[in-house]
Amino acid sequence: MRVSKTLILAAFALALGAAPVLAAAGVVGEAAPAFKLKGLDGKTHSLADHKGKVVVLEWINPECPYSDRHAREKTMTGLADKHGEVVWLAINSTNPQHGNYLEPAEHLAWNKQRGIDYAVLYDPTGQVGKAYGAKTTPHMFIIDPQGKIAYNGAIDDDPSGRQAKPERTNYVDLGLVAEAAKHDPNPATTKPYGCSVKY
Amino acid sequence: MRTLLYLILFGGLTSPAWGAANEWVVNGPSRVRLITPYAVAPAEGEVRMGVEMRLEEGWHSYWKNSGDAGYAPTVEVAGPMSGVELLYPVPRRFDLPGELVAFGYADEVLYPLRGRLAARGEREVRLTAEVDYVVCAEECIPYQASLALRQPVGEQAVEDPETAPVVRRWWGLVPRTVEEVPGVETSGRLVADGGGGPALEVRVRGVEAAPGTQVFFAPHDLFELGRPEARPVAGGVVFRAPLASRQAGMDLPARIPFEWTVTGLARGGEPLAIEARRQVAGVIQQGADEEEPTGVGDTTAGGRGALSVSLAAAAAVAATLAALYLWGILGVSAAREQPEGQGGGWRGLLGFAAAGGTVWALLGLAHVVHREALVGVELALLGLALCAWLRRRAAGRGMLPAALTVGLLACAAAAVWLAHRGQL
Repeated sequence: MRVSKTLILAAFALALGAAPVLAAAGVVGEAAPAFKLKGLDGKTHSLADHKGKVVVLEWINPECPYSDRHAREKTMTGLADKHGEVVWLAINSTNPQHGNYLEPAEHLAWNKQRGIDYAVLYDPTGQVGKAYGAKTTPHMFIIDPQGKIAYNGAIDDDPSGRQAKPERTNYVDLGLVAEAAKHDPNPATTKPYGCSVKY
Repeated sequence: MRTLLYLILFGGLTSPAWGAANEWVVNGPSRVRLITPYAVAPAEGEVRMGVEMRLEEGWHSYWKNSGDAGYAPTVEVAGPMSGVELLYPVPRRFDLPGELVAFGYADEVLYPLRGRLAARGEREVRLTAEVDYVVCAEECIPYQASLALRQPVGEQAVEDPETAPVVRRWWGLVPRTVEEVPGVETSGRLVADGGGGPALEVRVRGVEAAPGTQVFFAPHDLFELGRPEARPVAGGVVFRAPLASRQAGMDLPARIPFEWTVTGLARGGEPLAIEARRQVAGVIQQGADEEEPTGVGDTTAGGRGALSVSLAAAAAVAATLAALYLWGILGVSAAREQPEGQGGGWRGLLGFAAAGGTVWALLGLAHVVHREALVGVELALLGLALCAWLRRRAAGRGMLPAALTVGLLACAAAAVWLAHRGQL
């Protein structure tokens, strides 16, 4: 009796094996969460404004040594220039209560010093960061022209920044080249590295 | 004069890095040094050493899976050493704002290094380590350190009384591969989670779980693993961590590799941490909290599993007793009153059917109890049969049959108890 019940349940469990897998935030292949955020330029930026274009989202925190290193090394600005057709948006999700929070004027001064000319958006509630599952600064996302997340992960494969720039594999560059050729980025996900986002 | 010469000679050599540890290299809130347990290291063969790190209060460094931020340190050792391997002592969990999590070490840690030295005929070797690491508090700071050590070597290794206990203590905190620990088993399976998605269920058996027991996972390509929950069960512990896929519309592969480390265990009073790699079938099984396909139960989930295990064992006992009765072995008087040939054949056949029931119940038990427990149950049933047989032979001889009846009942009770105790 006991065993037959076991067998029936085991068969039932096998049948259930096809159940869908619950997805995390920022899942590749799913629609990128919509947002409307105020930028340092004083304008409100909405993801919907850029429909039909490839959008890169970069989580940023000037007080984080990783964001700052990539800014110094022109990793992001160099890529944004190389792929002039894409929309590059940086999002700062730092909690205003946190020591890393910068007033817009301070952030603008840093942008100027580092030559950052793309839009930087403030997400003080952290809602957008959490909707994307942004964990680190930098944490990179590529959104394809259909508004789906195409890449979620690190900027490159060199967390310590020890390798010379040409020796690094820049995943966002790879992803944008793939998008330009109407292919899916490969890899589509990597483990982001850097400081934790200061929610 | 000679003393003076020695003083000059060794005074020059001992600074900055001669012997079992180099001077601390200070990097902001962190200090690192290369440390060996040897005054004289073995010139040939395996050597154990480490990169020791001290952190100011509030800072932490990282485990091999750093969690949501940071990254694990890298160490590149140069010198006459080969096959250098960086190991990680048991980590701690740090909960960060925004439901982010980090895995690593606060205050101090020694990252153990293992390698083979090939310096026969040398009197000392120069070992260097390039360490890349990151420390975080409110902010994260990446650092690099170049560590160098002149290590005396010889035919006979000599411990350094100051550094050896430090190195040994941290080496003792490196989890052991589960295959190295006899009697301890671990397994994983996918089960349905409350939220509808799958969860990874990790079981460890053959251990005592301390209240602070935790499971840590290696980073995974396909899934994000949520916060695990631990449930102590008889003879072990069960963890459950929700899984969320990194890509939409993903089908589960047939086999999914996972790697886990379980800390805060004990075995025979000794603290224990284990690590294991397992291929988990990509099939979501019904969780133990709902129905139990494998009959897996635990004492905390309402005792439902415990009850079914005990019932199965009781069924085995009952079937055995029935078989013994039907074969005329059990009932002292019944056996005598039963003449051969009058329905004896039928009784024999029914007895076989009952014995089949015993086997059936044992097969069921085999899925839900330890192997050791199953052997125990079978021995108890054999003891029960032996008591019944001896009792029949000893009928009419004073107190002996009564004593054997007690033995018979004890064996029956033991079978149920062993099954209950040995449930997975």
